[in-house]
Amino acid sequence: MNNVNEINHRRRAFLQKLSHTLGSAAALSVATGSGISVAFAYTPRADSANNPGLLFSQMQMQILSDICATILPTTTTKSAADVDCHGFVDHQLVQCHSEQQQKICIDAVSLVSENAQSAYGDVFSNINEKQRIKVLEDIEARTSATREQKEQFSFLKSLIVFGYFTSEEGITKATNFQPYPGGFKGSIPVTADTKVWGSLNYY
Amino acid sequence: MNEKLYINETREQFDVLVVGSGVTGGWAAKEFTERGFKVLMIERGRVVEHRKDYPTEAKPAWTFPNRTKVNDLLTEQEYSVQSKCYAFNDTTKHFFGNDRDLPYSTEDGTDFNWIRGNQLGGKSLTWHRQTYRMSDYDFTANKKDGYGNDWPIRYKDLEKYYGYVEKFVGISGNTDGLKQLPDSDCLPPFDMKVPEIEAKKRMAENFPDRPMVIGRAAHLSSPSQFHIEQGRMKCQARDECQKGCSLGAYFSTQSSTLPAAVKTGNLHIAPNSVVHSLIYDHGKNRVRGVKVIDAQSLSTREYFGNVVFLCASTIASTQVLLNSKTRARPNGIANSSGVTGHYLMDHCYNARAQGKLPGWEDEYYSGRRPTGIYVPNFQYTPEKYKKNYVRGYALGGEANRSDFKGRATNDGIGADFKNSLTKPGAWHFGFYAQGEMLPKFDNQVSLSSSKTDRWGMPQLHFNVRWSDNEKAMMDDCAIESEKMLRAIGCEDIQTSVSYHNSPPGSAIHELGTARMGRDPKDSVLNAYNQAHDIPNLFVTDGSSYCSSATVNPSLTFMALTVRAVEFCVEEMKQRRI
Repeated sequence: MNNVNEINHRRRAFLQKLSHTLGSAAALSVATGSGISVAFAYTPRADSANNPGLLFSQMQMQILSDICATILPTTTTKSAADVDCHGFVDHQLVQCHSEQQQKICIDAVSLVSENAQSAYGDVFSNINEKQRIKVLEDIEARTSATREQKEQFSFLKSLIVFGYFTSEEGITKATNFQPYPGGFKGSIPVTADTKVWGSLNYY
Repeated sequence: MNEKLYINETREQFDVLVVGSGVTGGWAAKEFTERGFKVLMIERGRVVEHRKDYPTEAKPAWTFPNRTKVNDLLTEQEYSVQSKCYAFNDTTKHFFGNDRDLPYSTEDGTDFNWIRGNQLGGKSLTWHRQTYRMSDYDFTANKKDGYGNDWPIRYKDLEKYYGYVEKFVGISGNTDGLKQLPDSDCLPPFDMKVPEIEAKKRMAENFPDRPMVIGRAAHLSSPSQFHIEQGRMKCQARDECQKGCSLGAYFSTQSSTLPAAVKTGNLHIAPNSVVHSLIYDHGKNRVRGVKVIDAQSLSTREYFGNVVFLCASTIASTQVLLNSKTRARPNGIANSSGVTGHYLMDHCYNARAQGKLPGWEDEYYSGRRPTGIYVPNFQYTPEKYKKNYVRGYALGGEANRSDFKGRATNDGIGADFKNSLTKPGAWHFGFYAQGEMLPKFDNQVSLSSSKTDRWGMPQLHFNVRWSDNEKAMMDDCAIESEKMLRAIGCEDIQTSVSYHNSPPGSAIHELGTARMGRDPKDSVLNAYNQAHDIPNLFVTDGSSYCSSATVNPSLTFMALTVRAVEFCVEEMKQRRI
């Protein structure tokens, strides 16, 4: 007979880890299912890159911030780093993803760091924008990454993209916010200025 | 909170007890109260008031802690089953049951997803709102091919009730003139997108037996004066329905049937009342009321009525039926047939196909349409069955331009990549299967002999599996869907079948565990949803179905409920109840 509500061992390990990171009181509140949104509500911060995250070290947070700014840079709208996507990714990985997925992202950040060192002899944060783009493009082109490493990077990238396009900037500025469409029209023309609708309220 | 409306302890003898407040409970309450009967609606969950209790409505994604995703640990501990529902997320989770408090078991080698909505309004708040009539091909399928018992009713028996509920509910849709999908009494349809109009043409050329129509949905595309008087407004195409809709633009108990029932002054509601069992008078062979456990205090109370309508949803009504027993009737007081809990069905949604649709780059749409396109079952009669399985499937689907989600892992770094994600992406067209599941005696839900829940109710044990018929159907559907997408003009078509990892229950169309029938020996209910064994007991939710058909079941159980009420009132007049 199967017990439908069985809790697996991975979760217990995760809880133990959380209690190290956050203190046992916070972990207990997670365990009992109360106070989660209060204890863990994510709000964008300006200084995430200068502090260790829940998952990433301070140095990794800085690199992650620069990865965010490189993938989705400032254009007519703010960059992913400007809206603290690195803080979001760190938070979201702990809240909504498995340890395996957390490790994938840590490995991806390490890969970027190592590739910057071997290509330019400096840390990712110190090389110029063109060089940063080249480091990331080389991973995607698999000239400096295995297939598996590229997939790991892609997963991290998808989280950054998700974080950006579900941020207030991403929804209301980068895309076309339509909270009350007023009804459905099956056909509207597309012009050079047409932006994608960006107002799904759940994912 | 309205003190007169909501009650707890009472000694009143009601005309009718309605157990459940979802789609069928709302209809039963409306129909009885409008005819002047005093009704107590009994709901196991908390009160949810229209407009006031939709706390997440219109809140954008960035205001949620995890951008509308639910914390992993919370999901695992409290929503391990509910999270399997497509509509479950951080904006809707308060309208889903807590799996930790609502345990059940499954037979080894089987699995079942039981999605719960234990609050006033039930799953009418979170339903998918697709509304189709069943045809005579559906009502005669069991008789023609021999699987399951014959429905004791035909289309003509339900036709006027379909029309009656449709007018009240408000159904957007087309008049399509298809014999396999009888037309509804509809409000204007939602637009098809331009590539969908073209796909419909190409389907007609290549697969003339498979017409494509716009999905019919319980949305006020253009409210009539009648709906406006109900306090309901036009659908804004937000497509956030499962958070609750203050506009009342889709049908729910709260937006539609409940206000009508409340207006009569004949309705009372007992929230937080978990029905444990029916109180049975052996001498008179009548149910006298229900025994209730308070959801919070766990104290016991009783409610009394002249008639009981079980409208608690298929599985929950079945649990009450099985738990209502006497020494003389140890398997349930309305279970002389022994079929209560058997013949559990769902729909099999386990095949899908999607492809990229080149072109139409200068075409877009505005708003989030709350329905899709629909290809009704085209294997609706035995002459049209495939060789290796019986019955058929309908297809839901849609054409869409991709947003950032579909392109997040595309190659690209920097400003060009970012800008590309701010533009509408390529068109894609997808189909997903809505397959009929055969009624089988072995597919059963039963009471655990040893385990109870926190209210002292015996837990449920599920033994349900997809048969080879459903699996063969899904395999075929994936192949056929690919052919259809190719005919429509798609490229890079991907298909998948998922019956290995998506068990019964996943479509949230549980049906059949207290089925209707002509013969009391092989059915629980008669043609009017009245228990064969007990004249003043009716069950009008999905448990009464003899077959699943392929269409979404809600509209039919609305019509069945109204018909059952009308019959019951006549029986009361004739003093047979």
